[in-house]
Amino acid sequence: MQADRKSGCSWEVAWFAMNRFRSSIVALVVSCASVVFSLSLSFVVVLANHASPKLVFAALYSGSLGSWDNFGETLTKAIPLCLVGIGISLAFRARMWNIGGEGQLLLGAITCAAVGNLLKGHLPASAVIPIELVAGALSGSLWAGIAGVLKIRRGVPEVITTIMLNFIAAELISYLVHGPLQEHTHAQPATEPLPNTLMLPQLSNTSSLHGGIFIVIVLVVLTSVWLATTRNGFKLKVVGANDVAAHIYGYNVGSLRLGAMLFSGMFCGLAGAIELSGVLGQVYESYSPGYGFTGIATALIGRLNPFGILASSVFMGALYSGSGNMERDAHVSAGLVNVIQGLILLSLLVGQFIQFRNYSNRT
Amino acid sequence: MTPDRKFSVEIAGLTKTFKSLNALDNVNLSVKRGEIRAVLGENGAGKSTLLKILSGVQRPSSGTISIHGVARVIGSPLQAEKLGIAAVHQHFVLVPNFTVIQNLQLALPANLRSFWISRSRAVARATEAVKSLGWDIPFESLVHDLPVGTQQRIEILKTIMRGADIFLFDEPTAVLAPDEITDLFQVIRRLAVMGKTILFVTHKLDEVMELCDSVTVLRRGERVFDAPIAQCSKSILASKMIEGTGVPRPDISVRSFVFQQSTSREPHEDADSTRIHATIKSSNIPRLEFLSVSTSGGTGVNLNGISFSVGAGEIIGFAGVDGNGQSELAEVITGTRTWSNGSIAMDGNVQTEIRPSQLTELGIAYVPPDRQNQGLALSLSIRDNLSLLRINSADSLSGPFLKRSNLNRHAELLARQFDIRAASLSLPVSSLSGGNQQKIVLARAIDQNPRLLVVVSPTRGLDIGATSFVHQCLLELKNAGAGIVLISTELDEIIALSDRVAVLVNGSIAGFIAPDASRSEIGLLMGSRVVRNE
Repeated sequence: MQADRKSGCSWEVAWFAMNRFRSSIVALVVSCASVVFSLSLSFVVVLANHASPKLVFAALYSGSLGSWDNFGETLTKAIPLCLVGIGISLAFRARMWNIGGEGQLLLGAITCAAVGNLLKGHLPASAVIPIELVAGALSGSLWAGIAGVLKIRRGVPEVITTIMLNFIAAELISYLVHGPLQEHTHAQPATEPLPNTLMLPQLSNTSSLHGGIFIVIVLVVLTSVWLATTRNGFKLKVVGANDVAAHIYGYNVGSLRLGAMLFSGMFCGLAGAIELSGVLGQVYESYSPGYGFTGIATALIGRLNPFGILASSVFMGALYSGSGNMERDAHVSAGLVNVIQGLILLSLLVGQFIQFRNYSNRT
Repeated sequence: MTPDRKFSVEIAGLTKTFKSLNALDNVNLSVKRGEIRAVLGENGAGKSTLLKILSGVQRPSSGTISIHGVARVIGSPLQAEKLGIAAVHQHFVLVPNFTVIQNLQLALPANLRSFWISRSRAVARATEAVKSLGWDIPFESLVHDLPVGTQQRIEILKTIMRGADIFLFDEPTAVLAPDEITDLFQVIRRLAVMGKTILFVTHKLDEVMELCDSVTVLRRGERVFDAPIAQCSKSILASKMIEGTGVPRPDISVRSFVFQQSTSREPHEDADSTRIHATIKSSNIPRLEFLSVSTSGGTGVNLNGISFSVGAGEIIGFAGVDGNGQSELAEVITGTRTWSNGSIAMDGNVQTEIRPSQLTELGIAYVPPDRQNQGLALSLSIRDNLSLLRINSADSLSGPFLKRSNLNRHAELLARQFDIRAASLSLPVSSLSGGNQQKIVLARAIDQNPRLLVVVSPTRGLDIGATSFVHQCLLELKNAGAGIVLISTELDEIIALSDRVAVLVNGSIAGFIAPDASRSEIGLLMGSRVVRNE
């Protein structure tokens, strides 16, 4: 009888392993099916716009994956999306709903521009570049920290404060680029462009891909290792799973959540700083095409897993970089890409819901 | 009882398969109108599955269900409601900050429910039902202000208003005080006289013998026994329930679990060394001492001038009707609630404050009352849950990284010593039975070598085997020199384990009693508030 139970156990382990494997396959199938489903819905939307779906999708494809250069553009767009996505995922794992990625990203960019311009000529470029990036990251962290402290100390819902801080950040940028930080000719509402020496190195002459991609890859690996192997990574997991138990067993839930929020803002701020010092060089009023919001979708599609987010950021980046081409070649509005993005996100979430419901029915 | 001989519930060949496991295996069950049928079994015997299938939450893998002689498929809770089947759950489905009548409005049957939820209809129907049962329920009170027993009556009222005539009770006495249980039994008997059919799911033998007309015993998903109550005795039922399941019987001397523990460096079961450092001290310094401790503000009952002490190797039991300051007392000791007056000393050292993060340092371990919401992270693995406190120890860290291999080895050791039965420690805790879940919480507490253990309702909802295991662990910890504060609404448990019993009434200690005092004496103390309130 004893032996019987043992063999039963090992069989169950095998079943569990298989089931785990199967559920990750199911997750992949659901994700792919969602993409196919949303693309076919987009097909209908395109038709309703009296455009040729063939042309639209061909343009979308060639603009994002059609050539090495265009793939480089895709990766360039993926860089900020991936960073924001990871930042958002850290907060979400602690059940802190940071919707303020956009504001944190803007703060990071403007701080990076200000610090870079302030230090240029005083220090060698090899020192200024890290300093401007770190300054950008810290300012994003600080911006998220406001919402974090309000939540921990006063119980103010972080969803509301982070959204409000987005508006404040946008107005702050607007003030700065019209006032104190405006470029020296006062011709346009923008900051002084960073000199080329203070920009991240370009990786090719024909696309805007820059060295920031290496920072992203390193951070994806570091975050993944941190979550899986450190004490605080473990605690973050417990707080996300049951904050009441975490509190009872002596975890400092408040500071873990605040920490998650600070790191979250740090990644978003860094996204802004890298975008500035890798691509644009100066901050305009409409600096971000909504990376801070798309980053939330990126985090969710990547299921809050750093490597998943890396993959989903490339996908979202492809949509961004394909949209310009679509506008040019197929003569439809780039806004259509927003529609497609929205459709994909919705169908992914519905797909996850269906999968989760099936799973909970089974067990 | 009623002339109608037709079965109101008839189940034939009911099977429900989860994964490789048969939760129900070819179960037959027939219940007559007006009958109170007990469904008895240990945890995991298939009782809950049976209820879920009858109330439309789950569908059977095979088998038929006939209601009033007509074969039915119960595909959803709504269909169950239409068939007159109503479940009274162990955990109430009420909106706590709604009034009673608002809750009842939500429970109006579908045909009386339109876009507007009629208040007058709810009042009319509820008044009628309340009258027929001889109850007095304050319709305008907020539900969370009412005692648990009254909340349960509201649950029953909801089902009656929906016109139910088949009642499924899922361990309804688990949350009730003794006098509330008596009331509940009267209500159930009255429902039976009114011609309702009752399925009473429980694992308590006394209740079966006292209340029910007949009994069906489930074991591992199979129906193993079925008889009118006249042909049963407690010992017969007990043996039918646990026969051949290999569950350890409540025998304190069988094994020494605590002393089998070895250090994490020598992860072998047969190592002689003990991990309990809390040796019996000859000094008279108590492990924990309360001197007229009071709380103010906060939710729930305020403690009022509580004084007691727990010595080394002593179990002090706190009895009382639920909601008289039990959980608040535990929260004060374990640092999730502050106190405003009085002093608390641990091993003779007066504490100015206690924070949850200091507990390990102070030598206090805690088994909270609600294992699912307070004790465990259900979605995480067994391994992670067993490591919840272990990660704080110095030897679980090398540089910035957790020593996973150490943690995992230790988790495996604990799982073996506390007989946590799972196919793999990577499984989420939510996949375990209540008994195994509680063993995790207990293992983690005892693993800390506590000088003081605070346990609240440690055996709530557990079967006989798991209950005796928990009791055994507590006694061994006591013998190893720890002080134990045992807070429980199960009087039997308190009496069996405690060296002294304190009775909590409305946040104060009504008196201390020796555990061999008569139950009526304890009952008298426990009831003093009830008398005052009514």
